[in-house]
Amino acid sequence: MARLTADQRAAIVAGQPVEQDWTVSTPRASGSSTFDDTTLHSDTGGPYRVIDAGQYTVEGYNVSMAEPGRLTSGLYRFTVDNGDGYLSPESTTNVWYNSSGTYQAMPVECKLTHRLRIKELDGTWTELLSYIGQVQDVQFNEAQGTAVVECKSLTAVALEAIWTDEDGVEQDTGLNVIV
Amino acid sequence: MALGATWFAGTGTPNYTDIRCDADFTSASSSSTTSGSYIRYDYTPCGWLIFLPNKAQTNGGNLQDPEYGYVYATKDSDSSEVSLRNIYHDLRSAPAISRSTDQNMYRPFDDDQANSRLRIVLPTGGADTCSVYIYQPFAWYGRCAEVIAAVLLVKGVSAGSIDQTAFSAADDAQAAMGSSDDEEPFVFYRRQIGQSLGEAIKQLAVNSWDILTVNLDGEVALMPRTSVPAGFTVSSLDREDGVVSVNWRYAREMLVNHTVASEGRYYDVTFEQVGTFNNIPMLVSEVSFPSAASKMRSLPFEEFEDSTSQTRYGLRSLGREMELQEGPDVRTIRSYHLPYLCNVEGSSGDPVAAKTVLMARLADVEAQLRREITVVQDLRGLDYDVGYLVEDVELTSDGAEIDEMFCIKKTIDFNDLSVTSVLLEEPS
Repeated sequence: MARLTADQRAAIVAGQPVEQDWTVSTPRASGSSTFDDTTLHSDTGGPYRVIDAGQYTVEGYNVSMAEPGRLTSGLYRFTVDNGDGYLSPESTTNVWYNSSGTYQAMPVECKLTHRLRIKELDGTWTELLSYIGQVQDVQFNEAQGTAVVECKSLTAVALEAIWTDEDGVEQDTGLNVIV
Repeated sequence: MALGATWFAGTGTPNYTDIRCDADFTSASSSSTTSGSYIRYDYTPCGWLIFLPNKAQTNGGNLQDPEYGYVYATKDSDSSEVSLRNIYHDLRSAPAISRSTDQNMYRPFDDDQANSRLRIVLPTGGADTCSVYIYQPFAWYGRCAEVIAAVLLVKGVSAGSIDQTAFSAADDAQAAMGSSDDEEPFVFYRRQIGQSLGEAIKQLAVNSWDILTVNLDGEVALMPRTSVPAGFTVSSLDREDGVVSVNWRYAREMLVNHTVASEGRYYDVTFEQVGTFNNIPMLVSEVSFPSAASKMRSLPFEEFEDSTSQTRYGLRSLGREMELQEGPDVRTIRSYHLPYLCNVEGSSGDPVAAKTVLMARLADVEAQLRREITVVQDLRGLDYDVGYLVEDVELTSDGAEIDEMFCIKKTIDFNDLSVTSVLLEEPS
């Protein structure tokens, strides 16, 4: 008994179809916690924009005393066809635009979800993997008409938080304590 | 005891907030002694208490420190704050002598819960009963898994982003390492301004045997390397498991056959006399150990050496170089220091049991030459994550079966849907 279910293992062995999709979540306004989703790519039904799905690496820390290893940052890069400028926030219609909030977000304000699913033998689609990251950067290659999207997992972003003497909790430092 | 959902939610008894230094004086009794122009109050028992830096320099004020928190006292009669002359708890000697003071150094806290005693000294005018309060929300003392999880939660990582099953299993495994606290990986940690959360939990994780990871599901996980539950175990792995390719090697860079290990944090303390009160800590300063411990004497070190391994593979030392004074001689050693490890609940100031556990890990695991296998599989490779125990691994052409390996790295290629896993042998 491990990560996969018996049905998922059977589906993999039988060579059942696998599908991936990428969804961009954009805020309705600057700083808003309400996000709306736009499908960037879906293997089942389109749109079909991802041309290099990339890799995702997870590493462990404290592997050994001599070489403890790395706590990987959860970076994920993939390449998208951007021949029509869909990834450019400067274009009239683009994936970063939230139509509900009529708000043009910048890529770094947005989140990305990448899912990997398999069709089990009974026809049910189940999830093998789900990645949720914060968009860190988009690199546009005008000559090739592509864009490389770089994300960092939300958990990895949380681990970058720094201890400060004002950690958002009243009375936390004693410097402003209320007796 | 497993860490349940209510432990992580902060609603159970106990829960993650219970391992903070949250002094509880509701059951403490106090007594007072007057000496000339000073009065001293004693409170006991107070639970565990951490050292309070600069506590002897608070004449006319209260203790305020961004890392340690806030300590203050009020008069019971009118709740007005009183000016502290000193505030301190009973000191616990560390088995080390300071070069700067030529005196014993001390442990950072008093964890003798049933007998702990907090003392405050006030200028007179304070012949009035007082109450004392300690507010230290960012200092923890507990098993390694508990403290890492608590730090994550206090810093705002949601309980849903923490693999609670893994942390609970790791905590159970750490508890199973011994029958008392001093045999388990207990750590004392207080926040350090400027330190990132990721760095903090990494430095805490090295005090355990367990693997820290942000797993394939995006959760922070501390994966137990002893007493691994079935949910984190794959019972076999061979070429029939969708294997595309296999490469393997001996991970010589991980081999350790010599080190001088030490643990804990140490403080220099100088004393003063206030009125007729003797041995009141006047200046308390943490020693940057071992870098500032050059030529100190009688350090609490335990030397590990595997001469057979050294003959076969050469000297593989672990740690930083430092000088140790032994009588008139100065000896250069490599020291592996675990500053947060704080197993002092055995006998006073004696971490022998903790060191025994550490030495066993060095001898049984770190000193062994281990195989490392890189295996590429189809999506069946998603069956196990980093930190999973993989048993009965039979992937090499020599037909050898490796009883236990741990997955230490995974890469998923979303173009060809292959999964590359790195497995490290765990000597049994």
